[in-house]
Amino acid sequence: MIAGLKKKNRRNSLWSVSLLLLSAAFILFIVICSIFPDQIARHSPERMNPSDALLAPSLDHLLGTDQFGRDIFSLIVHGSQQSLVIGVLSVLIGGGMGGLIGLVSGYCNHAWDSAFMRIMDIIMTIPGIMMAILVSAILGPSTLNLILAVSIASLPGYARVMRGQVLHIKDAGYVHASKSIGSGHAGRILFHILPNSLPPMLVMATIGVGNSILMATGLSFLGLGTVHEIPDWGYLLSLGRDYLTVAWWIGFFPGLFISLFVISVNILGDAYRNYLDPRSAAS
Amino acid sequence: MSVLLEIKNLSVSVERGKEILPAVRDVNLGIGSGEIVCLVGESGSGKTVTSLAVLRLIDYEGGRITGGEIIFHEQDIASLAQKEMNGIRGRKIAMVTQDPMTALNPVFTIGNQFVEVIRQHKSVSRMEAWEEAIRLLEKVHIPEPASRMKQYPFELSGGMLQRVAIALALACQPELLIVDEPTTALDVTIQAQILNLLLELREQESMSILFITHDLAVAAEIADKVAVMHEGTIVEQGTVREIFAFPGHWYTKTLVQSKRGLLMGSASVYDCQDDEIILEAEGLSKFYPLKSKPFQQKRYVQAVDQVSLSIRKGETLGLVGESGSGKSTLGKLLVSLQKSDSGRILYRGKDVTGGTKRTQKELRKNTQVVFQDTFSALNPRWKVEDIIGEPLRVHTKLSKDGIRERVEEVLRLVDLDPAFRTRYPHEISGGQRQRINIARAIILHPEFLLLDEAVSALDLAVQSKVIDLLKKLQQDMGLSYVFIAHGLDVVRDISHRIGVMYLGRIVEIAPAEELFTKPAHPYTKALFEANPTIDLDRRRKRHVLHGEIPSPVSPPSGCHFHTRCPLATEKCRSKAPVMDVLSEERTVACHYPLEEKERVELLR
Repeated sequence: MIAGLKKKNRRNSLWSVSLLLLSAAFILFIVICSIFPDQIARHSPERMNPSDALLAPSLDHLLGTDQFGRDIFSLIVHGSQQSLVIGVLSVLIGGGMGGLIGLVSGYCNHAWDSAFMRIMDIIMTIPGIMMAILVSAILGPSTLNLILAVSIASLPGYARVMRGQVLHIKDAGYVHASKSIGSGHAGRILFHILPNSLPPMLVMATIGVGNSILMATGLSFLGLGTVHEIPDWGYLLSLGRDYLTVAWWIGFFPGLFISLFVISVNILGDAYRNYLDPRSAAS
Repeated sequence: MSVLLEIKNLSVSVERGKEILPAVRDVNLGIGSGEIVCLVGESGSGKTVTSLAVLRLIDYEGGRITGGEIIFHEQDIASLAQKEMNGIRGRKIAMVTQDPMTALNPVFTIGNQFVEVIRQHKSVSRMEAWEEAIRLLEKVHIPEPASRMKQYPFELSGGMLQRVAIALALACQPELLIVDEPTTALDVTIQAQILNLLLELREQESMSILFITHDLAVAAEIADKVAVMHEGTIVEQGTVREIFAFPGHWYTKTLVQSKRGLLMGSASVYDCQDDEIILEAEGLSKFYPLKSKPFQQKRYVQAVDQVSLSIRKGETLGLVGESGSGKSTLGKLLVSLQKSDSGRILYRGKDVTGGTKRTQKELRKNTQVVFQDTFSALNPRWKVEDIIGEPLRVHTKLSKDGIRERVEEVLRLVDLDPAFRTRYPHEISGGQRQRINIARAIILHPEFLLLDEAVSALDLAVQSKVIDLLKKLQQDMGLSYVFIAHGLDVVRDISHRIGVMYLGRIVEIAPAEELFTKPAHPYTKALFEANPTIDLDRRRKRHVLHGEIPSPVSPPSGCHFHTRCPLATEKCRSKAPVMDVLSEERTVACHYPLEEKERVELLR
């Protein structure tokens, strides 16, 4: 029985390592796609050809074509840059600012905490997509504004998680010990509270990448998102909805890419968190 | 005496992460009917695993019985199916765990939990089950059982909850009760009450009890038979007298000796001749405001109430008292981890209460703290050298190499290998972690250390080693300690003077030996009487303090202790006693201090 369990464990770790490598490879592929799209995709994403409309996946069109005869694979490859920038930047901005707000309200006294958290509550009452529409409508549709809109909508979530973590960590023995040693607020925050509060934020951020892409989709769909020749993944996904019964590949493959990308980021984020934590380094 | 349960050559393996560890090997143990058997050992010795195996709950904890038999009523529990175990668990064998708060469901009332359990096993109506539950609560001496039934677990104190958990276990008149460290989380006074209750229940219900504990003294108080476990095997078993009078195995010997050592080697020799006063508190008070509804009068918890004391150079002042007596808060006030609401703290005669940043930093350099939780006091992401070097980085401008040198030096001072500096906190044992904590505290050569339950979480053998280290450091560096602990024997061992706290006030301060031999305050006496001892002749011949510590939100009038004091008079109820000098070095706050012999006799 013992031998059996050991074998199972070994298989598990082998599985997780190969999963990690696969994820890393996929993300690398997407990054390369976004930098050198022309080298990856054979067809131009802009070339419309009515005679090729709604073709099923074949050797020539690996993932099929859409209703205008554009190659889906090319669209995905060329759209990757947009999606990547939106997903990653909005998480960085939203997570960074939300984290800072959470840190301040978790660490500072009751008055600051209440003030910040009530503002976050107000933002939270406005549905994310509404918030994003508001920002886009005021600032006008552009990629940067889209990123800003998505970031603001995701602020309260990050702020709340960070605040909870900070509240918990600031009562840990080592923070008290650091205070009794004589270190100041900055020392305690930078060296003790921040590094120990970050892991859940990291997990949230990896999921946030996918969420941001999808939220940007919604905005693009409403015409408030990117004004670009080449649609991002989210917009591609929404295009495919109308043809789901006749040409499933139009919606399916962009969706697949979004899912795979989110899962890969998640796995990498997890691995990075484990790497940061000395407790799991042994195993 | 017939044998109720017999464990034969039991072996259990437990899965921990990726490893399979043999947790228990070849255990043989018999429990006669009506017998109390104590399983003693330090943490990780396999006591709990053994008890879980008897209930076959170990299957759910990632463990497996790999060999041997557990014979109960001519059935082998080790080979029964889980379904058949349901007929035994709760009905024939019941269990009480260490933490009653987690054993009870927080969202149901006490009554509902009883009704559920009773109706699970017996076909009775809700009303009948309810009445049955009240009878059970009466049996474990819970005051006003009918109104308790409608309360939620969080509304009851730890001692009360443990009584509830015991009553719940008694619901089906089990033949065997397994209690796993039932008193470890409780104060000595409440512990004595629970032990008395278990002894009483054994008589009434004629059940057998398998009592698991790490505390030898508790075992000596309650057991008929003791089995000592070490690293997964029973190294020795026999009657209490056999074990404590003639320990055979080396491990039992060290255990018994380290317990005895605590009692003998008290710091009675008044070796700190220095009369220089390091730290002084004058009328310190601390109130915590309670959350209140609007338009309601604000209420306060009186954590520390007008406490004055002084600590000399090279001296250890012990602080004892039940939980909720304010000892930890007082300690935090002394090292300015919290601000006092009134009163002053003098460091070497200088008032540091409302000090500037500079004097604060100076004070922090000279006063350090060692906490109870060895693990949480160390940043899990830092290596040992970063942890110990933190004070140097805050207060000095030493180079990296300079810091490393000092870290290695101080590691040697606390008897650790300098190679430890590259390890992480989770890679080292509890005792070693506490040495790291101590190393960090002494690296700046402070004058005063606050030791807040610093050894309470450690196993007995480790505990005595850490105490020895603290004593050695005190001698070498002339440190002053305030030592807070609930384990009275440890405090007696290390302290020169001891202060006894009750509801935020110090009721008595005296040199350690005198306090233990001739306590002047009735509370001090009650506290020491409740303390379990391995001296078998003193067993159970004692007066047990009844009731629990009152709420600090509305403490009793006059002398706080009058509600539990057997000698209280009208004067005690109306007038608070002040600290009175009894003799040199001894002060007590009692209208009728126990000097005269007849008053001591009254307490018997």
